[in-house]
Amino acid sequence: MKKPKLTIFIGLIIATLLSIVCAYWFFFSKPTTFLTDEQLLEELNSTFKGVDAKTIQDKIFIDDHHVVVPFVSTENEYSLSYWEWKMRKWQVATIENSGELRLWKIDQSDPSSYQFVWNIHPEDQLSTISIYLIRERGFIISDEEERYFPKVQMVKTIDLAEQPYGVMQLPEDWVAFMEESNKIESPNTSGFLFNNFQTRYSMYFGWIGADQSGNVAFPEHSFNGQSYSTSNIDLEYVMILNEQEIEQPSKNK
Amino acid sequence: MKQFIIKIIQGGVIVEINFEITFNLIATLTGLIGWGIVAFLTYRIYKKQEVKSKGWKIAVAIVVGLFTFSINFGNEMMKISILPLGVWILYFAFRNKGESWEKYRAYAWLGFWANFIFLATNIVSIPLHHTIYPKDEPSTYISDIDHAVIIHTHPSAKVQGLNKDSLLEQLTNAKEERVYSDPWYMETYMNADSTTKDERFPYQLIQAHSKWGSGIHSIIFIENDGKGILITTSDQQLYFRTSESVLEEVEK
Repeated sequence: MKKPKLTIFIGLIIATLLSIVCAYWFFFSKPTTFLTDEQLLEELNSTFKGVDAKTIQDKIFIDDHHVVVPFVSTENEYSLSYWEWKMRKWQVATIENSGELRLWKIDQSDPSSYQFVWNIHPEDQLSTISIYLIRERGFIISDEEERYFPKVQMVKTIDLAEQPYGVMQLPEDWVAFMEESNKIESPNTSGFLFNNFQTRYSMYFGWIGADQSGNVAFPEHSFNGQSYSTSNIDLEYVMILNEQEIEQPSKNK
Repeated sequence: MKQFIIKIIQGGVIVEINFEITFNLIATLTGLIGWGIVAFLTYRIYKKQEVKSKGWKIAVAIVVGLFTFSINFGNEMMKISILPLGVWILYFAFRNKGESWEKYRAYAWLGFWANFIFLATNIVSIPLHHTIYPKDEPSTYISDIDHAVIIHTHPSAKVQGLNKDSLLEQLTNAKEERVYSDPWYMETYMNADSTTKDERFPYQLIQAHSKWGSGIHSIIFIENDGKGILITTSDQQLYFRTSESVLEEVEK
């Protein structure tokens, strides 16, 4: 190789390495210490004008890069904010001035990364919330085959006296159920019939609140908030279930 | 659980080989044989040519040649190629370059015909797979239960866990029965009064692996008496009855 060519070649290699290092530093750098309460309030109020954040309740770390910050506004709204470490900065992804249950899917493809998030208003006077994973019972009969789909109903109850606000990972058996289902549903979804199975018998989450005496109660104050998003995070509504939809086992079993 | 996954391209379809425990040994082997035949034919053409072609150009011509318009017979493995789209693309791109097209035409057509070689290996692999991994035997689906556990998927489940010894023993004498889909569905709503409902299959068996090399994934539910196994794969559902329960009482 001639001299000038060699110089260009080496130059190119150095340039490539440098850009890789820069990109790495930019996208994968370790997060700095999280913001202080004052910084959080300032950031919240400047991002979402109407939110009027007054008091930071807590800073809940899901992992190094994801934080949930529950806060109370001057209007006494129990609110939630979702933070991400992105582009070398702590950024607020979504702010909501209500605290009803949400599901934050940090990594859509990995159910064990899913987090339930809530900040129930004290005036709702709930003592527990029960979160459900449900798949409806069903059957299919076609010329070639018959299939039966058992009802799946799993529950996790949260004591609000201990945790009026919080973040909860999906229980292990829920993750196991979802992963097993994904294994057979993802590879061969080309069949027409199979698409039918999926839409009719897909699973969903729901929740029910209960007061001190165990009666179902609707958390009015935790609803009807406004939401403001700056970044596209996967934050889902979790529907309130009707008590009649929940199956109770018979006693003699 | 981390898995080691390799992706290869077979007949234009990306096939995932999962070395954990659930990769499809038969499909992998027949796929390799298919590629072996293509490689052999490539070598034959190369030998016959007076003006030799460049290796990487041959590879590109074959891969582009693989691209076809095909008819799919309900299954990704059963597709019949009709129009040689890849060959046409190469033809229109290189027809004016004279010699170049002459040199690579044979390889592009080889790419097209390779689709039929893969169709043939697929057709062979299906009965072979059925023979080695019989679809009507529960041990095909439940083979390695070292890490298997029972989860309770309905509140009517009792405090019971998996009895591994019993499960292994019962698998050998389990009898296949019809899936009574609508009676099972109806009985829940008929028998119980309006406030209570019991599920016939309130337990799920998780982390049980199918037979090594079968590539089969299934969802397995266990009946409330512990004597029924409901196995669902992506293309069928099977129901087996055992003589003894595969569950046992566990202490809280």
